[in-house]
Amino acid sequence: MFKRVGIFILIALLIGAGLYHRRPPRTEDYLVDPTARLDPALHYRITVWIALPVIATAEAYRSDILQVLADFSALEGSITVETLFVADHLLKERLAAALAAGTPPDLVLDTAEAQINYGELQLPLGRYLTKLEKENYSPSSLAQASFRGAQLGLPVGFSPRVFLASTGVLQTAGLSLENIILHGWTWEQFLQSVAASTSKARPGLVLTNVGTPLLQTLAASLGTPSPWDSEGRLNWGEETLLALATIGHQLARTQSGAEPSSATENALALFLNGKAALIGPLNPPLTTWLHHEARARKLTLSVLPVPSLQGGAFTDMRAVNLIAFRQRSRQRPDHERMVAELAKYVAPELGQVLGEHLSFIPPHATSTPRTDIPWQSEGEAATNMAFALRTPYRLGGEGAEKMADWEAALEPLWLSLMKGELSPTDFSQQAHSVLEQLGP
Amino acid sequence: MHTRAYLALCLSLLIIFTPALFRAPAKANDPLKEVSLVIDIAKRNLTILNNGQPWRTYPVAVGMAATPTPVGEWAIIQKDRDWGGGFGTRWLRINVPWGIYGIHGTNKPSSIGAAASAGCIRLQNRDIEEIYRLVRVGTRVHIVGPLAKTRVTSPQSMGQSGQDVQQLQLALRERGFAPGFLDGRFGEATRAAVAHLQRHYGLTVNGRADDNVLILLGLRR
Repeated sequence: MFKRVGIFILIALLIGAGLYHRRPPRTEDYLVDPTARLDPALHYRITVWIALPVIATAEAYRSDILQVLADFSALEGSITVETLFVADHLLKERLAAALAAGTPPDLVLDTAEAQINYGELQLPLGRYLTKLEKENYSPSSLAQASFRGAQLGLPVGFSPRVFLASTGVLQTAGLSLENIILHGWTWEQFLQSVAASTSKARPGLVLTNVGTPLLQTLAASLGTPSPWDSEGRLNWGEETLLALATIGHQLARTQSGAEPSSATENALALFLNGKAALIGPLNPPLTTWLHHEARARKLTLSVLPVPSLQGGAFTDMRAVNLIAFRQRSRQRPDHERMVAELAKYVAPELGQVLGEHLSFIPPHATSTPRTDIPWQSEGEAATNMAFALRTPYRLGGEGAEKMADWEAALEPLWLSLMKGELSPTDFSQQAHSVLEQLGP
Repeated sequence: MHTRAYLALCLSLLIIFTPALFRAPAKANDPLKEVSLVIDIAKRNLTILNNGQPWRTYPVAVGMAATPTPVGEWAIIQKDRDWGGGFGTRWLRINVPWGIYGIHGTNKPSSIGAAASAGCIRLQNRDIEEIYRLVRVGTRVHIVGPLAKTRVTSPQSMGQSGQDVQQLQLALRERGFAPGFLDGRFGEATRAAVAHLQRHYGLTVNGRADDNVLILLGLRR
C-alpha cells in the first residue's frame, strides 16, 4: 500500500517538476545568458523593426540606420540583420499582432512610443550591461527603461517637450535664460514671464495642444507621468489632480483670452507673426520646424524646458528604447546573446542617428552632441535641447503605461476644464473617481 | 485490334484537345487585368495602362491656356454615348469637383494634338469608342501636368472639395503623408493624413486642416 502511494507521489513530483520547467518564464526573471557560447558554425539571422517617421530626410535616416546595423554585421561576420522599416503610426499595432502570434522580431525601435513593458516574450537587456557600460547612459534614461525594478530596454534617445520664447520675454520678466537652463524653473516663474509679456495687442502664450497631451506634459513636470505606478497603485490622488488642473486652468486663461481651441489651432501663425511671445509644449519635430521657420523670418528664439512645481525637479523628457524579444519557437541562449550583443552595440550609434534626424537627445555619453555651441546662438534646436538635458530635470516615476486608456477616459473632463466649464476642484474630484473605476 | 487502339487514341486526343480548338484566339496584348488611363497634357496623348504597364497610346486635344485641363487623379463616374456635336460618339465623365469635365470624341478631328478644348480631353471618335469598351465606371484617370501651387485661404475639413483641397493633398503627399488620390475631395484618406501630420507634430489631433496644418505645409504664412 505504502509502496503504491510512494510511487504515486514520485510520479506527481516528476510531472510537477516537468510542468514547472515548461512554464513560460516571466519577463523580469528571464535573463540573457552573457556567457552563452556563440556557435562559430552557425549563421545567426536577426530581425529588426525600426519605426519610420515622416521626415524630409527619411531616405538618409533609413540608410544611416542600415549602416549602423551593417557595421555590427561586419564586425561579427556570422550574422545577417534583416531590417524592416515600418511607418511609425503603424508599428505599435503590427508589433502587438506579432506578439500575439508569438513571432515578434528580435529587436524593435519605436520612436513614437515610450512603452517599456511588453510582457512574456520580452527579453530584458539591462542586466546584460556591465556596471561600467551602464554608467555611460544618463541615469534618467535608464530609469525610464526600467519596470518593476528590471531594466527592460536600452535607451536610444530622449524626446523632450519644450517651450520656445521670443528673445526678450525672459528679460522683461526679470529671468535669466542661463539660470533656467542650468537650474530649471517653476510654473510660477513661467506664468510670471507670460504675464510680463502679455499686452492688449499681444497675448503672452499660445498652446499647441489643449488636450490630454498637455495633461501628459504637466503630469511629467510634476514627477508623476502615469496615473498608476508599476505596482498598480494610484499615483494621481485628488491633490495631484488638483495641482495639474490648477496649472492647466491658469495656462488656458492666459492664452489670448479667446476660446482655447481657436488660439491653439492658429498657434504657429500667432507665434511666428509676433502675436504671441511663448509657444508650447513642442515635441522635437515641431521645435525643429519652428526653429528653421524662425530663422527664415530672422527671428531669434530661446528653447526653454517645461517648468516643474519646485523648479529643476522634473520635466517632460521621454526616452525611447531599443526593445528585444524572443520568439516562442526560438529560444536558444546563443541566439538571444547575439541579439543582446547587437542591441548593446547599436544603441549608442542609433542615438546619434536619432539626434541627427529627429532632434532627439542622445542618452549615451559617447554620443552626446557637441556642447561647444553657445546655447543662445542660432544653433539647431537639438543642441539647445541637449543643454536642457544637463539640468537636474528628469521624467519622474516609471514609464507611463497604457497611456491610451487613461487619456481616453480623462479627455472629456480635461477639455471641459480647459474651456472653463469645470473648476480645478470639480475636475480633480471627477477625474479621481474615473481613475479609481478604470484601474491600472 | 490495332485499328481499335488507334481509334481509342484518336478519341482520347479529341476529348483532351477539343476545348482548346473552340477557345477564341487571344488577342495580342489584350488588357485582361486592371485598366487605367494616363493623360499627359504636355505630350497631348492618352495611354491605356494594363496592370500598370502601357498598352496603347492615342493622340488627344487638351484644354486651352484659359480653360486648362484639370491635373489630378480622377475616376470615371459616367459612361454615355451619342451626345453628338463637339462631344462625338462617346462620353466618359471624370469626377473633377469644380466643373464638368470628360473624355470624349469630336466633330473636329483636325483639332486633335492641339490645346483646343474647354478643359475636356478630346479624341478621334474611333479611339474613344475603343477606350469606351475597355473602361468602366470607377476606372482611374491620371491627368499629368503642371499643378500650380497656390495658397489656401481657409481651413479645410471632411466633406469639402475643390482646388484648395487638392493643394492640401499635394502638399501632404510631398511631405510623406498619404492623403489618397489627388482628387480635390476631403475624404477619409485625407482626414487620416492630416491627423497623422498633427500627431507627428504633437498638435491637437482633429483631422481638420486648420491654420497650424496649413502653415506647416507651406500653404499659408
